[in-house]
Amino acid sequence: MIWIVDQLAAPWQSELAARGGLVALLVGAPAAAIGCWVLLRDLPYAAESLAHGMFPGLVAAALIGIPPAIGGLVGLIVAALLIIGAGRIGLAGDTAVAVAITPLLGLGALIALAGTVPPGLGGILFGDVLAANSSDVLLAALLAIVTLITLRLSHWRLLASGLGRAGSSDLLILLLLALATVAAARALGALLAVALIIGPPVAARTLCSRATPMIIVAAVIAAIAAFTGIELSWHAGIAAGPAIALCAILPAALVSIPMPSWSHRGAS
Amino acid sequence: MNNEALVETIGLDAGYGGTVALSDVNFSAAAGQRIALLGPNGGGKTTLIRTLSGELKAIEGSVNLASETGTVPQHDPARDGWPATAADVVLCGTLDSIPWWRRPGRRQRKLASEALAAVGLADHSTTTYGELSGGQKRRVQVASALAGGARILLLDEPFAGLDAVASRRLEDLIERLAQNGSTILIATHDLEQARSWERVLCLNGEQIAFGEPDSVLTRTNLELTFGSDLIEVPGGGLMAPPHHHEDHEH
Repeated sequence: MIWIVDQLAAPWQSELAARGGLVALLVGAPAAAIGCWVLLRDLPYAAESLAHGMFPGLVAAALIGIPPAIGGLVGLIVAALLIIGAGRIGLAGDTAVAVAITPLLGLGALIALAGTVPPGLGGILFGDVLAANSSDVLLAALLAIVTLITLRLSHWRLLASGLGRAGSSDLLILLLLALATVAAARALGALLAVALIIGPPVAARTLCSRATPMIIVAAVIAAIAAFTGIELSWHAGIAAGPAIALCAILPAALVSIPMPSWSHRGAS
Repeated sequence: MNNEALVETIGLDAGYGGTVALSDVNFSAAAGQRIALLGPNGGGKTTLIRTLSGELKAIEGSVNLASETGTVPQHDPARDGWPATAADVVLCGTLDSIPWWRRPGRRQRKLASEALAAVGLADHSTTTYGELSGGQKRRVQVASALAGGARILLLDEPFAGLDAVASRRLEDLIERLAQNGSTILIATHDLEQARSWERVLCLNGEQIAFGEPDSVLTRTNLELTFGSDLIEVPGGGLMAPPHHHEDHEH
């Protein structure tokens, strides 16, 4: 027993792992919370696309030497403008997203692979949470506070939007999603960030029939994924970002195994 | 506006994007009255309801309302599987009365609880909305409108798709609400139902007639309202063409 406790405690004695776990927790819980509304409003494709859309911004930031969060944010704004532009020329919904985002992903790859490979390309793609510094912790905490307060204040409006009792809240959800994506990209990278946004809510949706419990359960699953991901990374000797992504998605896979008694969802 | 009237329209033209779909509507309804909106599909019943609710702006003329309106739309606007209980849905009806940054408080919860009890669904407050039957959902939507303080209820084909038992319950609820002072406009295709209410408003792109059932539900008015779709039944009676719907609910 003591051996197990020692093994579990081992990663947290390392400052890098402890700080990385804290960042993963701070970005994971709010990302999962906003992910619940993303899932409920049928916007998972937008979530994945936003994460991919900021890739060139992240690469450019690494090349220029500015904070990745700024590059990611610029990438997201460009992606949003392109999606709006694609919509204006008559492309609808997911088609507009696909047409706008695919070139951005290609542009990111082009910049990354042309000439000097930017430092930390692996981290941009798959995250490098163990390299997080105190600024990253601060930024993650700030974004977490903004996201959670906004979600708390707008909870009933978001709930009403799915009942036809209020206007669409998709813009608010997409704005919060953009914040969560920028934050999550630090831990999991542009390609894996969506795991924290979508994985825990998928599991929580299967377990809960009301919005508030669903959000709480999703945030808890994300927090557990942050913890177990660091543990897995430490003991298996694998990269922390993919390990956290795996732990964030695993519960969704487990609850999706057909076991009717687990499902509390009403007939709909 | 007439002192006793809760809702009144004067020379109302309504429609979509500047195109008039319903013209020259003049009627008023007092507290406690049930008004049947009769008309063919596309005759302007939903357009009138959406205009009275404020969703559409009047193109010409005016709409005068002495109370908040609450609408129960023809098709359930809730997304499939949305994670809300019956109480949540009713509580959402109170949101218009509080600033966007405020959460519903004790007062709103009390209003919601009373509204749910008023429609006979207090025992279903914790039931997930998606698990309710079609008739129960309509009653929850009425409760949501009541919780928002509406005394003018706009029900768009509320009986469509309901079986006899659910229809009876909803009709009883409408009668009770009218007795308590609500004004209720109900789009319907059922002439017998319309005959039992206080007023009838016939529409077919324009107002055909408005008044008490006996004076409005004449063969001439019904032919102008429904045209060749009007159905003759054995015994000399008339029937409005049925509403087209896909699902039968209970």
